[in-house]
This record gives sequence, C-alpha cells and structure tokens, in this order.
Amino acid sequence: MEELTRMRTELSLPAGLAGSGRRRYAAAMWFCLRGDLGEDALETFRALAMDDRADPLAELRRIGNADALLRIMQ
Amino acid sequence: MREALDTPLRDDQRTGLPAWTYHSPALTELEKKELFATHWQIAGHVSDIPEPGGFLAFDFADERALVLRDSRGEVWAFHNLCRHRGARVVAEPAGRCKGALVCPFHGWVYNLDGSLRGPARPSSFGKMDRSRFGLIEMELEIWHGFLFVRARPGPQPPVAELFARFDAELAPFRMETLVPAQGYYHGEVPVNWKSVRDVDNEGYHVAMAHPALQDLYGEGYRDEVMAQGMNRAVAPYNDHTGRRWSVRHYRTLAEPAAHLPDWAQARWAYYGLFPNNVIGVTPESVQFYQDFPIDTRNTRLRGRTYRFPSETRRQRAARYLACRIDRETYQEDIRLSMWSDEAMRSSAFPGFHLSDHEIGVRAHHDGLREALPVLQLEENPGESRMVETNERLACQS
Repeated sequence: MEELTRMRTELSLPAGLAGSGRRRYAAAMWFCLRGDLGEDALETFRALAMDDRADPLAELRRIGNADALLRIMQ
Repeated sequence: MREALDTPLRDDQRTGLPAWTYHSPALTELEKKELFATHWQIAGHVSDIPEPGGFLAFDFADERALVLRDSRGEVWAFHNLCRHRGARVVAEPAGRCKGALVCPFHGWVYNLDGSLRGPARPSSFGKMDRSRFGLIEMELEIWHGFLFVRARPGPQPPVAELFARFDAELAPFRMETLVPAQGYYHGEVPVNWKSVRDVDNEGYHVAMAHPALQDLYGEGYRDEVMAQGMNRAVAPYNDHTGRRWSVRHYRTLAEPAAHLPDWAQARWAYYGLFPNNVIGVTPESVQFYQDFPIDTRNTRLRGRTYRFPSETRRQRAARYLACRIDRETYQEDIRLSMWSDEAMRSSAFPGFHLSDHEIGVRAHHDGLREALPVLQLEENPGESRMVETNERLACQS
C-alpha cells in the first residue's frame, strides 16, 4: 500500500519540477507492469519523459486515452 | 604475497621499468584489463551520496562504475551499463535520481536496488524474465566511510584487510564522519599513467621540486613500503613555522582539532593502495586521489577532499591554505611527470637509477611486475604478442 501511494505521488508530480518527466514515466512503468495502465499510455509518458514541463494527463486526454490514468489517480 | 623491500637497495634493484612499458598501446590495454579492472578503486565517500537516490559515477580504464544509495539507505555499486544496449544509465558524474533510474537511450527503468522495473514498450520483448536483466553488480566495500569498487575479482584481499595495519592510526580521524569540502577534482595529463605514479611514489624530489612542501615538512618526510602493495608516507611538520607565505600562515592559523591526539596535530600523511590510489590525511582534512590510463599517452586524475563535520573558522582557513599548498605541488608534479614521460621516449635515456629514498618507486614497479609478468622483459615482446606472452610468463611463475 505504501508503495502504491508512493507511485501515485510520483505519477502525479506537477509539471515543471526538475526531473519530473522521468519520474512520472518510471512510475507509469510500475503501473503498466501491474496491468493498471496500458502500454500506449505508458508510451505517452515515455515520449514526454525528457520534457519536465509537459503534462501527460493533458496529452492523454487530447488523444482520448486518459481513462486508466484517471482511475489510478482516484 | 610480496614482502616489503629493505633499504638500502641492492644495485640490481635500482633500475625502473624499461622504457617500452611507458609507450606500448598493447601493454596499456593489458593494464586496463588485468590491473585496473581487478584491483580496488576508491569511488568516493558515503557522504557523497547522503540521500536515497544519490549516486556517483566514474570511469576507470574501460570500466564504468555507478555507486548508488537506495530508498532504504543501502549503498550499491553497479556497472553503469543498461542491460538493453549498454548505454550509461546515469550520464552525470554525481547527482540524485528520485525513485528510479531511467536509461536515457530507450527508457528502460531500473529500481534503486538495480533491479529492472521494466523495459520501454514492454510487450516488444515477449515473455521477458525481468529478474535476469537487473544492473550488473560491481564489488563494493566500505571502509571508514570510503567507498571502494572492483570491476572484476582480483588478487587483493578485502580493503579492510589491506588497511588493517593503519586502523589504529587512522581511527582518531573518524573518517566515516567526513563531509565533502569541495567538488570532485577531474584532470587529464598527457603522460603515461605510470609517470604520474613514479613522481607521486617518492619524496626524494620534495626538497628540490616542492618549495612549499619542503618548507612545511621536508625535514622529517619518510616513505615506507609494505606488503600487499601498501605504502605510507609520513611527514611531520618542520620545527620552524615556515618561510613561505602560505606555509607560515597555515602553521600560524592551524589550531588543534579536538578529536585528534597530539601526534596527529602536526603532520601530513599519505596512505597508498596499489596500484593507483592514495588517501591523504592532514589535521584539517582527508582527501583521496587516483590516476587511470585513458590511453598510452594520457592519464585521467580524479579525487576529492573532505573535511571534518565540526570545523572552526580558523580550521577552515587553515584547510584553505593546505589546499593552496597542494595546488602548487600538483602543478609542480605535473611538470615532473611530463619530463619523466618524455625521457622514456628518448633514444638516449638508459632508464631510472633509483636512490634508497625512492624505494616507493621500486616497490610499485615490483608490484606491477608481479601483477603483469610481461613487465619483467627488457624488450617489448611485440604488440600483437603482449597478452599471450604475459599469460605464458604468468604460468611459468
């Protein structure tokens, strides 16, 4: 449970924080391998990993693939 | 085990390694693989990575080391190689990665204990057993707070055993409590790495070449060589307070460190670990430095200075002045290394003729001859036959 909470925190790091792109992607990997997040969504996190200012949720919403991420965040 | 040399040296012990050993590319490759990869190297100090996710990375010979503190506070050492395509999983020499390591090449993700969290696009690897693709561990030993790594198993015993003879002497310095005084030092010198060692391994040149060191401790300096490639140079301060500005003010400003016994308040000492590591101790600081071959003609220098956690303003000022003396000495040593290295390429230089005061050079060369028997040959056996010849001689011995 503690790990789940930590990963959720990592996944929702605010855009703009130094290193946050890679941290969000690393957390997304954890959820993906648990089966909570699809590989397409993970790929969005990877594509944004080097841009700390990017918002993966906004991007996933834009492409209509935000449902799994929203379930994790709840 | 190699026994310590006695002085005076016999006449047949006064020669150094033959000149070819300083400019043979095949030998340098052999040294990288069979010397540097198989002997302990100082990576840094636990205080370099105080927080979870803190890491330091450095290259030595053809190896890449990564030392990392995990989320539980445990320290690990790995080869800095992604298991996918061999990229560096960290690209910077030091830093902090919170939560995980992400390879900058394709995005494989590793946990801080080195296990693979997952590869980028996981389904593209079929039914992958992720437990087989963690970072490759590197041997790690922590001794008095200093981090030692070894890329491959080698002939040396554990670091604690090698340094055991100095344990009681170094205990008062409480080295495990040290904190960084400044950043890592990185430098490159256009000489064979052995030319750097040859200069650093003896104090015979101090009186002539290092005016500041001579002023500080030249009268009582002595080198000692010991078994297992260990050595020590002890340098109690001269009786006078110094003629040079930096030495005079260093001696005047220095005030006793509360944790140190009297004998440690007025001396510098250097502890050498074969083949290329030195820990230098003063009343105000502890530093490590080391040298690695980049190629036959270029050497990488690396080191860092640490201070004691409680430090008065006077002690800090004294440490600054000690650093200034060291910087001056470093520049002087670089020049000497270059001259010595040039001589090894000259058609006229017949090789070293060593004084009893250069026992450290002789001991280092003996250690190299023992580790790499091909160094016993007066002539280059042929660049293409270096490995084979070394193996044959090793079998014979």
